[in-house]
Amino acid sequence: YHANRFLMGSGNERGSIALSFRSTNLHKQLFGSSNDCSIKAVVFQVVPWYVKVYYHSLQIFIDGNSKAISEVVEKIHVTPSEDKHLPGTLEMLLRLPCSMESATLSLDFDKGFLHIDEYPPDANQGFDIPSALVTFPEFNSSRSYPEGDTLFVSPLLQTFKEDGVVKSYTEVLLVPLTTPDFSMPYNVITFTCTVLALYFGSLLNALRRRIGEEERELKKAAAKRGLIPLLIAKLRGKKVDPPPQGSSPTSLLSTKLLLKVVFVAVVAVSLHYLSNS
Amino acid sequence: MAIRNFWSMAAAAVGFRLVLVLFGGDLHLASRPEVSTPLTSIRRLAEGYWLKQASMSPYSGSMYHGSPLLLLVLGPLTNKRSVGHHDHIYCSLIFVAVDFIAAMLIRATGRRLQIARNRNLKSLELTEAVSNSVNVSAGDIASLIYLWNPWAIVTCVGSCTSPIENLMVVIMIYGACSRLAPLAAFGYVMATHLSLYPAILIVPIILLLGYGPDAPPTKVFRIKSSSASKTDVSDNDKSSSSRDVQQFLWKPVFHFILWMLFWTFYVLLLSSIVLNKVGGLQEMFEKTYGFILTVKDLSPNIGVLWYFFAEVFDFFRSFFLIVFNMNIVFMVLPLAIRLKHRPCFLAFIYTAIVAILKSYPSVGDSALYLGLLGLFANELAEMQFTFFLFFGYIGVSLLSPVMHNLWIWRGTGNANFYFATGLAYTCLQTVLVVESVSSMIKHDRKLRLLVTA
Repeated sequence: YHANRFLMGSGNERGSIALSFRSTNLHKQLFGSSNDCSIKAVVFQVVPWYVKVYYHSLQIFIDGNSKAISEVVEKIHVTPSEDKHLPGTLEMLLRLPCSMESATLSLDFDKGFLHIDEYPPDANQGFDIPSALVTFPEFNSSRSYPEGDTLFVSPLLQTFKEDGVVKSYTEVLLVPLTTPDFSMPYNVITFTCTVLALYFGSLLNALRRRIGEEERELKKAAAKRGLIPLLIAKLRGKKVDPPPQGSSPTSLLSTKLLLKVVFVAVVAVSLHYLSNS
Repeated sequence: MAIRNFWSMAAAAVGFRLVLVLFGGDLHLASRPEVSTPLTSIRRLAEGYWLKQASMSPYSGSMYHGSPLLLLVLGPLTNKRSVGHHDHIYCSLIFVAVDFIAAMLIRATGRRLQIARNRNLKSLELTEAVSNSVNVSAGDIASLIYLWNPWAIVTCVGSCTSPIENLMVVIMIYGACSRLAPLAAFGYVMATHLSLYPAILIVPIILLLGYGPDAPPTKVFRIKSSSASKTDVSDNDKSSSSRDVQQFLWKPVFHFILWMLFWTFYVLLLSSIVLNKVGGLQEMFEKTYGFILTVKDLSPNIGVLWYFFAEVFDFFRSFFLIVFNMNIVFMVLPLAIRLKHRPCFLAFIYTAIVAILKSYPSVGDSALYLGLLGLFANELAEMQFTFFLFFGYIGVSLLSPVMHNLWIWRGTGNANFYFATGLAYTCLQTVLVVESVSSMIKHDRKLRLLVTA
């Protein structure tokens, strides 16, 4: 089989990882026309933590038909990813019928949102997902090399001559993640703190409002005669004498103002002499 | 006066939800960032359930951060898939029922508040004066606001677990208004278990159980009794008027605390049974409450903290985490001191503050406090900026998906577009809370002036 892997979905929020197998039609030569045969395949896949894979969304299609998971997957071992600590791994033992032409596995994922420090220098290029490894444990393969100069013996080539299980590596995937605006830390901090200060200050001010101040505001509003006609009608029953109350506050204010001016003058003169000496 | 067409409007709202649940699968509301957060996403719940079925901890994988009890109740439903319908249709049907029950409880709470309001106005001899202004059935209005709020509908159809949290908060408030300590304690424990923030609602709940439903300040009653004693020297009037000033009852509060301890133990026992061999209570607390308090997931949502913690420098992260978490608790005491005579209104204000400042807000939280706001339609009739607030909410509702689309899907915008919408939304909610508090204080002031006149 040819094993391919690709991304499905659009946009920068979520998508799917699809793993597809396509038949090379060699099975007829190997197994004849038997109907009961099946081929085992082991899929091993590592996904970094910022691609959040929903393993419950695993779907398997064989020749375009949806299959139940228990029919195809004999064993499955999942290590979910932990944010910033651990990539997610998926190992599955699949049993695929020999007569199939194609099979597809798909997993949904959400793309993560990272802190600005966690992005690489070229953030818009995207992030790599390592290729998946598909092995066929029932098949062996080996390589043979022409017998040439016996003096040249390479341990690596000797290893390749040994029998080993068939391995197939899929493509490396490139997942573009959305990026925050990297020039915005101070703006975000100031905007957010301003909103919270608005909330805190406004609410505390509403709670703190004094009764006397509100009394005066209502009297002014009553004087304008435009607001709360019921209150105005009630208040007219009692007459208020503004002139006698008005004189003493003004005199008090003038006295306080005079004291303030004298105090500032004294402080200024004393500072002047101290600076000279 | 009750709303005449209440039941037909309520049935129409439920029917509308059912139509959207059955035929609205193409909307993909389950993955909208305004609706679905890392705490309330049904897809993450399905993943947690799958992990638990595979004999692993449901909290491994940084996916599921909710209650293990929700796994028990809703998890099997996420496994079933009907042909021709979207994945989580059974969960959505449950959420329709949950929304309806919450609306009925809001209506019952409004009825009790109305009875208490009429009794208080009668004792102050203000019934005729106040009834000249607005006097509508607040419970029916609040119930219909909750049922027809498009945000509640979107949350319900989008298979988000916020309706269950909202139901628990409403059960708590209704139980406290009715002085049913077991029911109030159950709602309190479940709401705190599901999302931690309703823990601060213990202040209005105790005030409700102790003092009873909302009333004008005790100072107004004292002024009334003193003026009555001036006009009439007889002892009967003085004793009857002094009885109007309510005393704090400690017995319901004591019952509430006992039942709260019982329900807490019971919920923790159930959780430990569910998590047996696959984690344990310590991991549950770390992955649920710890996840809430440390803002680990930086996925965008309708608030502002996701972008703040995506941009803030790591050196200052701990400081800002402490400040933002304490911000919710800072205003608990000043509000309680000033508004202790109106505990149900206090519960509404706390719910609104939580919706503004929580780590992963969604429109489901706003649906709850907007429904509770309707309970005070009479008291807040003279609130300012209502036009601005109403169209501000509509504007944010329309702009938020547009900004998200520009940023994530089309690529013509960037994260700042969506963050700006979150800022506007937070400012709107702040204005609503401040104006609500101001209007309630002015209303009490008006009652006092009417009494002295």
